Amino acid sequence: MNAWLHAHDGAMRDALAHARRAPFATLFAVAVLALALALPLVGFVVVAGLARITAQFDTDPQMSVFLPLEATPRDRQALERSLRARPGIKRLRVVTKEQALAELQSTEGVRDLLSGLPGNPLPDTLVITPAHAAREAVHALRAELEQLPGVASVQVDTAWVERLEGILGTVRAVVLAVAAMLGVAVVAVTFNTVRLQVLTRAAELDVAALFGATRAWMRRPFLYFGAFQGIAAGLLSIALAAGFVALLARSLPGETAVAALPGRGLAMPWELALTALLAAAGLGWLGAWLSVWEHLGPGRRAHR
Amino acid sequence: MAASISFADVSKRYPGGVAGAAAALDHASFDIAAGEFVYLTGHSGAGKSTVFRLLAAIERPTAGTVLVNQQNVGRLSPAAVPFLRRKLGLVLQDQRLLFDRTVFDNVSLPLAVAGVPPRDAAKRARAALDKVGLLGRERANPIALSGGEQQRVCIARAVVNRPVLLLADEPTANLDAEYAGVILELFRAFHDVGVTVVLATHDAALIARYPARSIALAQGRVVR
Repeated sequence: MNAWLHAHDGAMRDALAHARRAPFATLFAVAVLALALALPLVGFVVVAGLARITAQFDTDPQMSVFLPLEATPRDRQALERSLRARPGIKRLRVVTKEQALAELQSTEGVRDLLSGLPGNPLPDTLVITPAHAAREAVHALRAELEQLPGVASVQVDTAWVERLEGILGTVRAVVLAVAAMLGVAVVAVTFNTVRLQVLTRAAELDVAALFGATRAWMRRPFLYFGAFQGIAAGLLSIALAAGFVALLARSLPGETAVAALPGRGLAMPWELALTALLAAAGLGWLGAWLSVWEHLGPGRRAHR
Repeated sequence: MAASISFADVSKRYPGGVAGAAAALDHASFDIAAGEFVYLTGHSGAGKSTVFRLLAAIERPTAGTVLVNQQNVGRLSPAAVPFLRRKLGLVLQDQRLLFDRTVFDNVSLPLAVAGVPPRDAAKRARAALDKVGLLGRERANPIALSGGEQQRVCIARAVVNRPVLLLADEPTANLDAEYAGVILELFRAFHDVGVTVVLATHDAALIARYPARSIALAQGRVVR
């Protein structure tokens, strides 16, 4: 166990020592990786902010249950009682035909049009907010209500919510695709950085192999280097993204900015920051692993 | 514990060699007892370095059997080779010193490879440098040392891991007679504490000054 710990401790020190020996090359690589990671990170923060803003809106779908024109107040009250007793209905508001007409008459230009009609052309309406906003649940409820006696028709008003969710979903998918592409770029940059390191240290690796270094011993410092470089790039990208988002939020109107930012006015949710850091470390490690597999793998005659 | 060596009808041909050209080793057979001091002699191209490359499992024999302590090193799995090499002390003809590292780093490399804790490694590296008379030069860069001192760094690196078998390929080449004598005294000192030493040289004067059994090679064959 001690030997294992010493081996890993030595590999970590070796990785850090190599970074210190080439500070500018290391910093440059970290900066490039940080920029690549910051872009999707900003995208994720913006998408999360948009989702929080839209959550502030009353996005609950509503249904209008229209009664027949000839329905009496008693019919309406009976249907209202029946609906209130049903599960799956969160709120219910009654709009009588008289209230509907009065509301319509208050609309400029419509009053004259209505005065020409022989009577009130509007039905009694029960406006319902379903308990479950999911699309399938809403449509199932609509089908059930349409079957009830005393109901003329049911209209669902969810189109705009679905459109908004669709736009958000598309933006989220684009951000994910960009993140995936830039993740591949991070792996490629790390692969190349580690490849150059292996070439630079070829003489040392040859000597180490002659004195009994295992392939794992030779690979380990490069793997740690890849992971450390990823962590450094991850931290820098979080700082860059947080700074950018804070500037962006400052340009929004006050209430919108507060709504867009997560709790306590932080520009970056800690869960997202932690995920970004772990992903950066993982991508760095993966790039290094692919590189050492290619250059120090079992198929290589060098470093025997 | 010292190591015994046995070569039984060993041949080695390198891939890509000219068809019909002589093998680097051609049906070579010899034994070296544990704790013995042996010279491996012959001109350049006689096969001395190939013997060392086979013993360290850098190459595998084309035919025949190479045993170190009854272990067939020609049939070792790649994963087992590093553990064989940790029992060997190698002094290479081309030295292979790392000139971007200090003397101390060069000498302690085999200990780092073997997973020796840094504090113990530092003690052992200093002790090895003390044995070769270079204590106090550990922070120097090998490029700043003389040829004889560089060779002593190689010897310190070879013995720091307490090998059971010390293989030295032309360790006195390019050194004057006085320095060559100092280097040879070092090998004899390690032999005196029980280490098997195989020393390749074509310096007949040196062998005459410090006599021991010789195995002579010529064109890959054992001739004496």
